[in-house]
Amino acid sequence: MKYLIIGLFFFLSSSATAQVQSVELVASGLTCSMCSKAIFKALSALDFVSEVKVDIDKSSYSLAFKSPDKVKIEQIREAVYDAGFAIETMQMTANFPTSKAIDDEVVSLVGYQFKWKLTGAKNIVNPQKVTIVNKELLPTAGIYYLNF
Amino acid sequence: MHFFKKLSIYILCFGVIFVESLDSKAQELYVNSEPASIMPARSVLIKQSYASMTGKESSNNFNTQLEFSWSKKWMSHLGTNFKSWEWYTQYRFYSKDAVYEHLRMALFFRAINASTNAIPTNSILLDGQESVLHGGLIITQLKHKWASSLTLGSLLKQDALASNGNAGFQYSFSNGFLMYPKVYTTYGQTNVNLYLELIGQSLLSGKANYLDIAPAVQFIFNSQAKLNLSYRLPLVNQTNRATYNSASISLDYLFFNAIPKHRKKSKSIFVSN
Repeated sequence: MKYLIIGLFFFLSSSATAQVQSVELVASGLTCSMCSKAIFKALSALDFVSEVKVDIDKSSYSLAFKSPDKVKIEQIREAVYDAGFAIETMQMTANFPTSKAIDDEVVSLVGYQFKWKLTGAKNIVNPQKVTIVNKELLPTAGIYYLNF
Repeated sequence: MHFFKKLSIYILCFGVIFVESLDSKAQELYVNSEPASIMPARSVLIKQSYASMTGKESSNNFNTQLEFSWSKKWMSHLGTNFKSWEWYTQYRFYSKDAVYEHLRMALFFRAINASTNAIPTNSILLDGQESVLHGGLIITQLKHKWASSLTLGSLLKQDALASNGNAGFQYSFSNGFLMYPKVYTTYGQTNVNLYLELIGQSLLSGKANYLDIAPAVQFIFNSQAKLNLSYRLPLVNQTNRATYNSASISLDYLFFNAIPKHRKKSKSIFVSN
């Protein structure tokens, strides 16, 4: 019974901390600061985003969140595309509920289903930075694929 | 001979700008034409411009313009110089983006409705003196240090009595370069851009052609407001346009996210808890 309670505690604590800490993306299709500001304004207007840090020269944006459990990847994508540009790479730093990433296994996080796309298995060290590898950041049959 | 002298000045200017641009980035916020790119979705731009036109006669033109982008692919402009109205719309149908580069294509259409008719000339005037329909294709290539745009369009003047033809082609070739800053660090840095545009017209009758050159300098403040200074003069002028030189100044301000977004409900990619 004691071990069950301890097990339950660890399960609950890991679920509670399963969240996205930050998202880093590199936008493509632009060089000008006015274009960069359009993306910055669109990302800043998302209701779950608390702060956007930008490197204008590298077209890279780092997003922090008000509610790390309410991050919406498709809205981040839409903000950049609506500003008139595309996303070259998107990385996500998150606390995963499991300690191992195994190819083709599904992991649930902040309401999404993610699937690992890597060679064999890798140990997860939270907070783990992962890359969303879907083409044009569009989910395939509702799944985002992750690699690191 | 006069034409070749002007052309050599143009090539020299072009070469200087090109060499200078090797350390900088390109810009496509052209002063005398539109790139194939669309303004950020749901943004609004207000533009006020003034042009002093000279030639055989002289005149002034104040123009106020309001620009809207309804989506990432579609925008419209509404402009007036208080003697005419202009409606412009543009749809981007192709976009291929990579880091620091893109290739884009768009279709555009504009209608100019003039309340008074200008003194007839053998060219089609697009500055609000005549009622004209104008539509065509824009192709814009941005490649790190180079932003070029080609606009090809057809013109139809709404003047049944036009003795010199009322249809023709309008085309432009635009290049833009970021001169300052060399490295972007903040949105507050004032940008200085140089542009060189060639603007031409040929009437179907073959009786009138012109090819103008329009160098321009642009200052961008706070990555949101633009001050444009441009001078347009003919390289070739086989027309009897009353005015053919034009010095213009314009100021515009872009309001990001000015039109509220109607967000559709998310599709069912969430896991049911």
